[in-house]
Amino acid sequence: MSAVHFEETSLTLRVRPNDLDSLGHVNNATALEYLEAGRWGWLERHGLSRGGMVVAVVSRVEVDYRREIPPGDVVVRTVLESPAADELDEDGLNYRARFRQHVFLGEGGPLAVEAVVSVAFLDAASRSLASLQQFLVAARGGAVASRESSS
Amino acid sequence: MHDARELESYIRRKFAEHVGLSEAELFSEDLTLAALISRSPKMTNSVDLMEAFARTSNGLRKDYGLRVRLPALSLDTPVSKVLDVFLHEVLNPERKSA
Repeated sequence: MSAVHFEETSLTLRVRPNDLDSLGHVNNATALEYLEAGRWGWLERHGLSRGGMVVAVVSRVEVDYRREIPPGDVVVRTVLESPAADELDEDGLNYRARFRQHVFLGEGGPLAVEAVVSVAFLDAASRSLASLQQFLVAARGGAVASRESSS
Repeated sequence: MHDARELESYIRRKFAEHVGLSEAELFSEDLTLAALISRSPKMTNSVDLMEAFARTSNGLRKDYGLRVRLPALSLDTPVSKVLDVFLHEVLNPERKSA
C-alpha cells in the first residue's frame, strides 16, 4: 500500500478588465473560473498533466462570496480536503475528490471567496465513472489535451 | 476465514457511517439507493454513493484484507441487495486477496 500526499497550492491571478461587471467588481461566475484555474494549478504543481483517458468533471460546487473583488491580483489557494492523506492510497478506491478553495485579495489580503468543489472522474472513451486512482495513473502518464467540464 | 455475521455487521456499520444515516434507518426501511441519496445529509448524487461504496470497500481491505469489486446497481435497488452483493464478494474465496 502506498500513500499519496498532496500539498496546498497557491496561484496568483491578475483580474482582467473583462472580468468586471457594471459595478466594477468581479462577476460571480468569473470567480468560478478563478477556482477552476486554481485546480488546474494544483494539478500542475503535483505533476499531473491534462490528458489521458480519464478526465475530471465537477459534480458539485458550494461557494460563499465573502467580499467583492476589485481590480488587482487575487490569490487562489487550493487543497485536497477529501480523501484526506490517511484515506488515500494507490491500492484503494475513491470516486470523488473534494477540494477546499479560497480566493484572497492579493497575498496576505482578506478572504473574498470560499468554496468546496467536488470532482468525479470519467473514462473519456466509455464516459463511465472512473476512480481517482485511475485518474492519477492517466494524469501521470500525460498526453494530449483534455478539459475539465461540468456534469 | 472470516465470520459472516461479523463481516455483515462491519459492512452495515461502515456503510451507514459513510452515508450519514443510522443503521436502523438505512436497513429497517430497506431504502432504495435513490431514496438513500435523497435522505443522506452527505450525498448529492450517485458519485457520492459510489464513494460510500468505495470507502466501505477500502475499509474491508484495510481491516480484513478483503477486496470487493464494487457493484454496478441501478438507483431503484434496495440497500439490502447492496448488502447481499458485498457479502457475496467477501465470502466468495475467488474474490479474496491479501
